[in-house]
Amino acid sequence: MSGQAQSLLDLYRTMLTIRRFEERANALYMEGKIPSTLHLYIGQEAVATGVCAVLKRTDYVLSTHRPHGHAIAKGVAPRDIMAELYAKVTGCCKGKGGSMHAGDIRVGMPPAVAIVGGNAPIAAGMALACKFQKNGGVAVSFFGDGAANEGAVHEALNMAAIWSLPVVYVCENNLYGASTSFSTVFNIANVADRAPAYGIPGVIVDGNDVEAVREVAIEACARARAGAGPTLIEAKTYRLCGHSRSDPLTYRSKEEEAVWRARDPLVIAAQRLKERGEASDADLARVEAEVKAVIDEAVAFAETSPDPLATDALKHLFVGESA
Amino acid sequence: MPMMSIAEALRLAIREEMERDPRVFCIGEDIGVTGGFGGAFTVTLGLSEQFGHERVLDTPISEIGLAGAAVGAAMAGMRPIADVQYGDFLFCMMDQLANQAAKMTYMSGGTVSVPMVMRAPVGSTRRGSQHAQSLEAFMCHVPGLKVVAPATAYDAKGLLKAAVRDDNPVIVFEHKLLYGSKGARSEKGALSPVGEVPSEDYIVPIGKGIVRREGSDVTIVGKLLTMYQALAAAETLAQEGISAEVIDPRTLVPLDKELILASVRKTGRLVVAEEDNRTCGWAAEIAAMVAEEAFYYLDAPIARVSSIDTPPPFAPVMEAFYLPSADKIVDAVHKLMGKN
Amino acid sequence: MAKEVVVPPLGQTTAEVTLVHWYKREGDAVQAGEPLYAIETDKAVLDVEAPASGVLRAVSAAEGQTVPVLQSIAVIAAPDEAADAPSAAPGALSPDTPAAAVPAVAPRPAASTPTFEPAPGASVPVAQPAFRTASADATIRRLISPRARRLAEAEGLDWSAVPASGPEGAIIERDVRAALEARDRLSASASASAAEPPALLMVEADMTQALHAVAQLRGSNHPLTITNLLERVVRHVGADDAGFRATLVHRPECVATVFAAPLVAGYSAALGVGRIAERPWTLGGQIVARPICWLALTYDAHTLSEAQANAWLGALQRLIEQPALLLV
Repeated sequence: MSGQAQSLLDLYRTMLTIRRFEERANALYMEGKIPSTLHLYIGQEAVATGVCAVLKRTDYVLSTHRPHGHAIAKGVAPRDIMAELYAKVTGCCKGKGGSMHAGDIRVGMPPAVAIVGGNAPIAAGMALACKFQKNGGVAVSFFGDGAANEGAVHEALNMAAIWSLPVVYVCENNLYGASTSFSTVFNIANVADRAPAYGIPGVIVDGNDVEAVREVAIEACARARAGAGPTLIEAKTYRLCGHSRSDPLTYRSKEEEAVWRARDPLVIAAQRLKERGEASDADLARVEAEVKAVIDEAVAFAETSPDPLATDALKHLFVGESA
Repeated sequence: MPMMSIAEALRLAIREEMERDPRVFCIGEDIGVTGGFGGAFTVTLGLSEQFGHERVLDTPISEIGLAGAAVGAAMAGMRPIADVQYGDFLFCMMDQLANQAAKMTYMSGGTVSVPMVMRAPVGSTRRGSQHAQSLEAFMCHVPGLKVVAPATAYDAKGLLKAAVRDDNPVIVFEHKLLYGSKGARSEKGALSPVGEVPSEDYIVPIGKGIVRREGSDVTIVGKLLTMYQALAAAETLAQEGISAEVIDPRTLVPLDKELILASVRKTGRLVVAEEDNRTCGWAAEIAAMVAEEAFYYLDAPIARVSSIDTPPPFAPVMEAFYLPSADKIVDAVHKLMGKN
Repeated sequence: MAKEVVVPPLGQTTAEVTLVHWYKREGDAVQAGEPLYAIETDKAVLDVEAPASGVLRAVSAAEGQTVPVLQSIAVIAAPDEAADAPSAAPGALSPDTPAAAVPAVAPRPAASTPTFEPAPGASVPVAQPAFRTASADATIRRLISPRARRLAEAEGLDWSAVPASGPEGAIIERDVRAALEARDRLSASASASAAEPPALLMVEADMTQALHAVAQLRGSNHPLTITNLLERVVRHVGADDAGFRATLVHRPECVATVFAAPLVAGYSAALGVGRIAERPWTLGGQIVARPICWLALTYDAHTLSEAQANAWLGALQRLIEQPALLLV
């Protein structure tokens, strides 16, 4: 799904794939088909989609405990992610990762880092490698507003800045770190306000507008590839679901949720497609059907895939041993 | 054959590997500053002059950042040799080592590799509690990390080169009193075991220990400085007619179990000497392994000679009480032999 | 079914014994375990118990006759059973006859309680008798290293009375090796010359001073039990006389006041100490009640003279009665 010059309909299709994938995964979780909790990305699809639309397959994406959207946007096959959620040996991590560690290095996404803030220095290191290798590569670190207060993020931003590393830090500010609201743990209005302290650009973008996100990502990646160093993008967005499957969402108001639901990134994109005459209702229905077929196939693949052997636990501790 | 200290042997290994492989680079605090120290113990002295500051990369004082950068660079095809000034600071970077470096290969189903080296000086050297700890057991406890501990100049070069070439994260523990660092970074009370180091390319394979002295009455396993204490103890014991075999495991993970087991099967007695704290320590692991796999060959209980379970104290008199020593090893052997 | 009465093997050095006395006559009813006949080796007279209950028949050895060990000398038959004469051949018991078929023997001085029985484990190459007491379950737990135990078991050595030199009083490999060497030496000499049985010397000891010493040290940093004291005495005599390699078996719970310890292959002596009991004792011409125990020294009569054993027993008695000599 990564690659240049995608139409808004292409971006819409990616966002819809993420949305339908997660809705289905949630339903399957409720049926007991998926053995672990899920941190859903519903409502934030425009961020991963807009950023990854700018990336090449060989660029790197570092994700979090909420990785399904980043993985699909970066090009990990939905069937491989679904099989991983099912803990099947055919999963993108061979059943060793699960929901929180979805990723596929073949498309530039290592297993997602589920330690909050933990991926920021790794992204700097991957960018450092790109710089050494002079391959024009870029690394993108996605993290949440909660992670912005981790020391690891501070250390990484500073190192990336002093070495002008080709890395883009994308803070998805969905207003809550688990149940803790942004204003409780920040004495500033925006995460991006910290960028000047590192001597790098800080950009705030509407995280529910996929085209707006893509615009800032284009600039940030160009800057990175040109050797001008990192950018801190803050995408303002909202989780339209609970933090995890056990979250009753009692810490935020129904009024607040209604405001953001009206700003659903899929709704915004669909309206714009129709306003611009780039897609009709029939076109959107066709995309819906195509996406459904992809998700149906992913579920069927996961359902019919074999479980790993218990003793597969012994494999893959080290590279080059009983792979 | 050139005679070298461990610091010199490590420097030679890094130089040879950087010359051999453009993917290899050094990353750490104060390692390449012009006119600087060459790291806390002179190991990287002069390397930035040869390879430039890009490949001998000085970081901010950001242990999480530098460790994570090494992890990421390794995942993206580089071969970083990271340098932490004191082993104690590994605690600062533990997330990057234990959660990230150690687990990426596993979590990816074997598709991601993290070929990084993390060098860490350990040992109590009159610096108080926070620049003195031996963290070997902590790192050995994390599946997915390899751990080596060279005690001689020959092994320092050979094991570091093997670590750089390994496709997995390798922690290299070095002892402050064994470096033989010179000038302002030299250490009081250092042993400075200068030894022959071949000029040509060689590696000491990871996972292979060595018998440093053959004996028949008791096996003493020691690593880093305690290996030398074990040798000194063996000399004392020999004068009493007790024949001690001294084993240097060299690699802690994966451990050369068979070497230790074969020795214990021969001698029937085991003393494990370590500078780590005693409880849940490295020696405890060796003792448990031998108890499980060679119980019927034991002629006496297994003894541990470890640091006591306190932080490293500062006052020399307390530090000496805290640390293992050759005398303490001799006492332990006497007890096992039924002598008081 | 008739049960043969077989002369027991009395250690590796005894090939034949003299039948001294039949306690029962042909046709008498006998109970399993009651003394049936007495035998004499060169140094000891021992009672042999009946191996089964029934009627004694087919007696083939007369009093005073010399009989090879393992020879069948009679049969115990059911009351209405006709008994065939036992085979006169010494090989009536095949070498792999289960140890349980061998009758029990009791040393005469302690007629009531201790009984001989073969060491557990029929594979023991030397049929070394071990004592069982009235309270066999109360045996003292001995420490042995896994390595030593493994070696002892591989060599078929009963290690229960091997002297220990390891940490915490444990038997370690070198102790087992010493015992094995001694055993080998003994078998070699046994095959080269006539057999000699273990012999026994006994003396009473006044335990007043010993008990006093134990009471004095109770609660101190160096508390002492009677067993500790006895161990130290045995060690002390051993240190003074290289020929004295002795084991100690202390049986304070034994019903009998006399307790003869088994002589273990490779050791020159075994000191058996039973219960301490109050007994009349003469002191300066007066009869007084004193805590008395018997010291029973079993020794290897094949290699040692009675005079040597006598000297050792005297040394043991002197130290036990005057522990101050030891404790200063």
